[in-house]
Amino acid sequence: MAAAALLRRSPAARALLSPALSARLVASKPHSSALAPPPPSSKPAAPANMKTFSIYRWDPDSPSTKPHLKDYQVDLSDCGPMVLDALLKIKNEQDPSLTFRRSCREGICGSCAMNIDGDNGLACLTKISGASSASTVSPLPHMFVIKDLVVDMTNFYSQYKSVEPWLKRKDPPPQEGKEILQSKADRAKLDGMYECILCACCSTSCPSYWWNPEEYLGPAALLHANRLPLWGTLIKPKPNMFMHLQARGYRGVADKRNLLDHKRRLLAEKYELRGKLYKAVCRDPDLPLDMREKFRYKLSKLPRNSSMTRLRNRCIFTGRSRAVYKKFRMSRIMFRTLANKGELTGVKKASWWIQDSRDQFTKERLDAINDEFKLYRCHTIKNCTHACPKGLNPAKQIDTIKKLQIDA
Amino acid sequence: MASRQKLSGIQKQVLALYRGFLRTARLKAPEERRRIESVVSAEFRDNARNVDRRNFVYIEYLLRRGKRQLEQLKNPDITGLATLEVKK
Repeated sequence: MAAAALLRRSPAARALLSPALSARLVASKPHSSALAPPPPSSKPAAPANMKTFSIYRWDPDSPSTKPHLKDYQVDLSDCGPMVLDALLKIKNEQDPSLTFRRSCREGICGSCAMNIDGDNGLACLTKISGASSASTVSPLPHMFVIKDLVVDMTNFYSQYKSVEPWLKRKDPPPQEGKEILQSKADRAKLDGMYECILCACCSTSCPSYWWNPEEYLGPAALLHANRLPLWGTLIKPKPNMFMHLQARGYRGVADKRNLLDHKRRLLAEKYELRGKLYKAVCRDPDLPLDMREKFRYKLSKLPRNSSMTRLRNRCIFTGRSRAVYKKFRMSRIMFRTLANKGELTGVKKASWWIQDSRDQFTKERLDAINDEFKLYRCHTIKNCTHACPKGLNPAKQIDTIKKLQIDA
Repeated sequence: MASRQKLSGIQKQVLALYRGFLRTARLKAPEERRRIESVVSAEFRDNARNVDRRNFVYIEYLLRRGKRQLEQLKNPDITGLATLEVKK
């Protein structure tokens, strides 16, 4: 009853309001059951901004067609900012057969890795460049293509698997049933490695990986190898470095200066006895002067290159005459190069450090990748660091592994 | 198959893949084995007839696909394979 009374009163109450006020009230608060006012006009404020995308296409189901670049026009004012948005728009509106991997659209899954305008990256994180020139979208370079932008990642994953990317321990955890504890400083060492999403952008941007995809592990797998523990290991002498040199018969490289020096050594050896004899005679004060004179003459007649003073210990690899260490028979530069590679027995750097303190299989892990191909195909080209969409630095991690290979 | 002439590398790979399938089929149950053999041989015969022998890109693609399927089949947990005909 009271409610009805209220209702009856409200139209009356409304009639009392001034028409202007009531009009304003009605206009500002339309009745909820009335149709919502139409949304603002869908005509874009900006003019249509067309951009061409040249996308690599290849269909295995029509085997006679070769892989080719197909052009698509996309209106950027009606499209999200990222390349993935453009690809989805093309797939939805223009060509449903365009095939590509994608999942999270936020740069965390790593599925949409592809080559955009020459640089590897995630499509969901790469902004469409505003330039009016065409953008080229192609699959990750030097990988087998399954269809359009989808590549075969089995090799990449098997390399990751080969690194054994899990924690391994020899003795049981210190507290049974509880986690293995780690200090904050130790955990901080893992920063820059645990964020890797295995998108393969870095590995597929490395030329060394292009030329040896089966043997070289690639920056991604090596980054994960480094993420697990590192402890020093004994150096293994690498035979191949020296063998091809020693096979030449003498201890030096076929460097001209080394050859001449070798000649001098041979001559010095040949005339050693004679020269010493003559010299001894010359120096002996008890002998008559004319005899000494005669031997002095004979000494001067000996070939110049038989003199011991003409010998110079050169670096056996480069032929450098300065900064050559007798112990190693090489110059400081070669010494440093080989020592860092771990090819000098018993030579190690003073510094060493641990990556993940919880794992105990460091030595075995380092040994496992310590062959010519798995690790040392890396020539610090640094394409991987440039390509990583998460901003990680695989080259730095590979460098730390190499340094640790020489420590004990 | 180029009978009695020197087989090219890619032909040898195709034959090796076929052999691999048959050997793996041997390890499965006899009923499944017959099914695998029939499916595999049908596929190989079809492709041998339809695919141009000079189309290396496609042949290599099929080889890679076949190798991956063979790896999956080799897994002892896998009991067999089946095909499905999709009518357009």
